[in-house]
Amino acid sequence: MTKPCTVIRHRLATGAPLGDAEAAHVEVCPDCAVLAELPARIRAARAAAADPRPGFEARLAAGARARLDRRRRRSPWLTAAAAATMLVIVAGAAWWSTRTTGDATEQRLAEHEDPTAPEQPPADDSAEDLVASLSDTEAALDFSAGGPIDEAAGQLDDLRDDIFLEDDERARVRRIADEVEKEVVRLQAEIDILNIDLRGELEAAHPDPAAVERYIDRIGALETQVRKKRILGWLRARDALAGTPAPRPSAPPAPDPDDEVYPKPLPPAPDKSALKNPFADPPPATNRAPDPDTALVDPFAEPRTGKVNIRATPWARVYLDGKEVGVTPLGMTLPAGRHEIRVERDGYQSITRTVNVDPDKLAVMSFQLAEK
Amino acid sequence: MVGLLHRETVPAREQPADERDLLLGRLASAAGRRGYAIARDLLRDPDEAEDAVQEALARACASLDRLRDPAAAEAWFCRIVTNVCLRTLRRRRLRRVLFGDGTGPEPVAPAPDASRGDVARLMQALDRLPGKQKAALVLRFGHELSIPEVAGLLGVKPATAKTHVERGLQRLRSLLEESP
Repeated sequence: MTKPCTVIRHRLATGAPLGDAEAAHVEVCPDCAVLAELPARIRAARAAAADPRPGFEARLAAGARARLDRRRRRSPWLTAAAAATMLVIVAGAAWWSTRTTGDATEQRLAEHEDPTAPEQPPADDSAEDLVASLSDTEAALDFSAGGPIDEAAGQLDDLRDDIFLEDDERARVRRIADEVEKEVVRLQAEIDILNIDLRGELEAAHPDPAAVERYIDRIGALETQVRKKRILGWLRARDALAGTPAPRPSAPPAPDPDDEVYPKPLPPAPDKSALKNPFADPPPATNRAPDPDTALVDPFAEPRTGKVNIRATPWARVYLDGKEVGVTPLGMTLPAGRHEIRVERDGYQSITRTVNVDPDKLAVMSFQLAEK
Repeated sequence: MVGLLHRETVPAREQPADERDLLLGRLASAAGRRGYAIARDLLRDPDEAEDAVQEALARACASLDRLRDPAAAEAWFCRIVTNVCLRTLRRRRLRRVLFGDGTGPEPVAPAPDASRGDVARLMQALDRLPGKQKAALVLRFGHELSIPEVAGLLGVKPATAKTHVERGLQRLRSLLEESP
């Protein structure tokens, strides 16, 4: 959550007027009160500055002329010697930098080959921070926490890092992943800014519902763009490994029992491209063999999901289809269909209910736990 | 400024003396005062400010062929002034570190107009900020420039300029609280 002090500092820097919430915060926060006065104080101090002494322009032109003349008289040999010295220094620094970088690269390669080497941290901390910030905000606003975007984050990194690839394949995938990440970071920065503005609107004394709705719509649209970028990036990476775009089969192939997660046939050459599709619909709950007509997954199709908000008094652990998923209050995005929700807390009677999740709908479940 | 500069394609260092003098005089009268105001606020010393503007004027004349858009000549000149001032501030700080507080060059005295306690404290706190933060605050609030304009003068991206302003404000507040 962005603190009000940060928002106030941001608005002072950009010159944007303070909202009602920020103005109220300035009244009670001594730090922000001092901060809010600083622009006016700097302006007042600037106004006290004196004008130049008389004859300023003439002195200025004469002084500049003298400096130009001095530079013209400067010995070319001296200038050449200074330039040569600088060149040597720069070349030495570059050589040293290359040597240091080479050592670090060799060390990383050695660690990469060593199966016991510790796992390296993710390369792009800022992108991870943005994803984390977005997730926090979503959780706070109770929509799509744990949704497909969070689950999909890092899929390209997995593709890049966890699978054995040739150097040129790795380079191709890395280039695609970098392009996608660049776009995603840009979009998430926009989402971050919109979240700040939305929070400011929500904290206002009289929030404008229309403005709030606009913010939410815009954030939702940007989230959709993020998801599309990731999915299309995943496809591009897969196609880059395959060499050619994956053809769509004209007739459904015979179902392969080993290929339940991603039944769509891939081009024959690259076994490495037969990856787990993170966006495919989950397998059915029953053990029935998949129907070839329905088992084909179109990656361009929007996943049919709905949202569920779960609240309980007092708070409790939540189990989705028998698996613990968190504690209340909890917002989840689930595949459409029937799901079993159970809430439990020590000393209280657990409650189990079934929810029917409709696509693009929000279901709210409230539980009142009774003591044993 | 447009009429002043549009014919100039040869560096001033290689031009005839009378033409160069004419150019210097026009540049000094067109943008000199604004450059002086910036230098005066950043360096807080009239003599050093004049020196900085003279140096900037000489540099501008020497590299006039690098100016691509004559309409932006004043902003270009002010950017040179800002760069010269930042370099002067760095050197001033280095001299203080090398010679120590007591034996080095005298710290810049506050301006006579700034002798009142509140303004003097603010100026002293501003002097303790890093050069770019100080420049960002002075240009943003003292000269009432927008963030993109500040970024143009500092030679950084607007987001970086905004960061300088925000961090400068925060640090200035801390320094004002520390000072008696």
